[in-house]
Amino acid sequence: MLTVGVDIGSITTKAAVLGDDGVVASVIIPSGSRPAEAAREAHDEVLRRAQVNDEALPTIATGYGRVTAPFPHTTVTEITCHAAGAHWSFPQVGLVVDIGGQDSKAIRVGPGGTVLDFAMNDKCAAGTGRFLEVMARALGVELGQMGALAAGVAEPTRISNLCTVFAESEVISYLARGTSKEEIIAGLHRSIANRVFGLVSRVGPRPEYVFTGGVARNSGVAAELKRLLGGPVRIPPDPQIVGAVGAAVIARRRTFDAK
Amino acid sequence: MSDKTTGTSGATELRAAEPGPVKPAGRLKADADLKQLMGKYYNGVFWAHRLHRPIAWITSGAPVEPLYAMGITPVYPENYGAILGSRKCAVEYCEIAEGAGYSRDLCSYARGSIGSMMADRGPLNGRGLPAPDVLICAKNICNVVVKWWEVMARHYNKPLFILDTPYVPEEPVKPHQLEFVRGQLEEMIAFLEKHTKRRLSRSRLVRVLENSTKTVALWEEVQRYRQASPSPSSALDMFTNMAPIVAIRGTDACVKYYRKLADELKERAAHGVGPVPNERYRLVWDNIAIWHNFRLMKYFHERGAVFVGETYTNAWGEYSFSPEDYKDPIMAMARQYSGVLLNVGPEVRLGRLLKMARDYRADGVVFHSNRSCKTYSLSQYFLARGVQEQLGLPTLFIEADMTDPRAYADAATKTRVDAFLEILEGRKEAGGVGATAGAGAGGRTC
Repeated sequence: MLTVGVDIGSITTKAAVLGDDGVVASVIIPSGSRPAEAAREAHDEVLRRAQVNDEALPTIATGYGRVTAPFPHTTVTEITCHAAGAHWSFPQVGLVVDIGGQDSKAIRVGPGGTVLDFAMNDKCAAGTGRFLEVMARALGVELGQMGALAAGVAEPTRISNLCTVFAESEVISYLARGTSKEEIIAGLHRSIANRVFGLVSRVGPRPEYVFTGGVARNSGVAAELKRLLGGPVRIPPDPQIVGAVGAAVIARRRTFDAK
Repeated sequence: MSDKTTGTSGATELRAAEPGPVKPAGRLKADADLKQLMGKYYNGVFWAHRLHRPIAWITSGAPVEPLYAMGITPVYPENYGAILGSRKCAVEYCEIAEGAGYSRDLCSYARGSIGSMMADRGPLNGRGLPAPDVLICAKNICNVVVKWWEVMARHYNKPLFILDTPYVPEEPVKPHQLEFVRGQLEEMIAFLEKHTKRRLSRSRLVRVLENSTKTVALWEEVQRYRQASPSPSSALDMFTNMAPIVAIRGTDACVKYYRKLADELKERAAHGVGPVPNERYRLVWDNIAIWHNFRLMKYFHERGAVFVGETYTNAWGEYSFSPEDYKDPIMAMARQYSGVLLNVGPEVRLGRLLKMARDYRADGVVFHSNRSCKTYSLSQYFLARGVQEQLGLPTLFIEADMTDPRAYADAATKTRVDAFLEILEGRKEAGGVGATAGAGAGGRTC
């Protein structure tokens, strides 16, 4: 049996097809300015990759664009989907840290991948994927290179300001003073980890820790998070599609339950 | 297949399987009386000004009974702030205050009322509230009111009395604290007598206290009917219907109004009528209402969730007096006005919240983290932990402001609400995703 999950986020839209043996196909595309169109495109593309042509497959949409997705679907929030997706990869999961495009969240997960409690960032996108994007641009480095660049830094720069706009000015002023890009990048990673750790403290840290979302691809943030949590942090093979996979997992569960 | 029109999935699918939908109850019949009653109160305020009868601007936690007993008209800038919020014009007045240098971090009731005062404009009759003759500020609700009232007293150049009520970390209130507050109350009465040239008659005071007690008993009765399922009213009704118990507590009209409201809720409870007939989740609300966004309450209702209690409306069930109290009414007031919700320690607040959640069979607690009200919001994480640990109930935080819509993000809030309702639904189903757990094992560890 196949099910589909589509996660329409603020920056990227992800889709996954789940079969009896795992993820059959997945896709990540930019959400752009028309999330409904991105949702359609990701949905069609993932079905093409999975070599199925069936709009009637059980489909769950999640993420900010979930309600307007232009194909038959039911909706579940990305909080529930990330818990289900992380649990699907790591059944012992106790806490999910998810850092996406404009949200960061800590989700306490109970038996069976159910959500027990969660905390999300306030009305500010500092410390999220968008934050890293802005900083990469200010520093003139590739987003994907940031983790490697920060790897050998002993003394990360202290980034005091957590507002994205002000932090950008701060980064520029550090550059003007001659601070190395590597130290600044390490400082940015630390500030993101510190910020999300505040959310973790609200829901209570419970191993096993799973880190999801696009920012989990950044090894520098993951290392800082590990330091703060004081224990190993698990990262799924493709942390960015965990929400979409979770949506497909829930669709699968509901289809079984209905039978 | 699609449930796009109905929003979240689990709840709607399940409800569809239940017996046919029952029409949700509309507005309370009493609402028409409420509108008339509060209209009359504000008319009375403006008339008092024209007739040169004394007006006192007072805080919501100040003892109003001596004022009614002395024929002084109380005016509540906080209630006025809530009106600015529910009429969606708070930002206009807040910006006037902000332009004058008041920080956006300051309470939005304070900013709104100061802005309206400075411009002498407002939504009630085109102008601001009529000027005070005296101002009374009780510290039992927060410390912001002290500076706020000083600003207003300076603006009008009128005398201000600050009623000091020491913090009560644990109940009962200590005897030395009660003696102190009694002294404060006697000073306050002397202050009022001096500046309004009116005498306080003890027998009239007792008569007003009797009315307060009757009002509180009726208010408690109104709240008790909400133990029924479906609940005959939700937070939306109660936040609106608390206006009289705040502003005209102690008057005959107030008693009459709540008698009517109680009868209506009794009737509704007996016939299973309520705003969410297919009630699935019963919730308790902590903190002041989001006055500018009652739509959010309806968002809960549409998804089968009803509010069966609010710590805020419940807080007005505290001002009741026994016949024994009438022998020493000043001391009785000292006790009641010391132990109000925002003047007690977090442990006491937690105890009251847990009791409410139990009595009303709540499935979860929603905390409005109110940017304006630091006093109310400060201990909410402690309270949430208590609710989770002692009752095993899930909790939700909503970031907003009681009147300032600039501190609220709709899409982010609705995602949190949806996720919270999914948690509640998951608990009702008591299932999991076990069927496929572990199938995707792999990945890396750092």
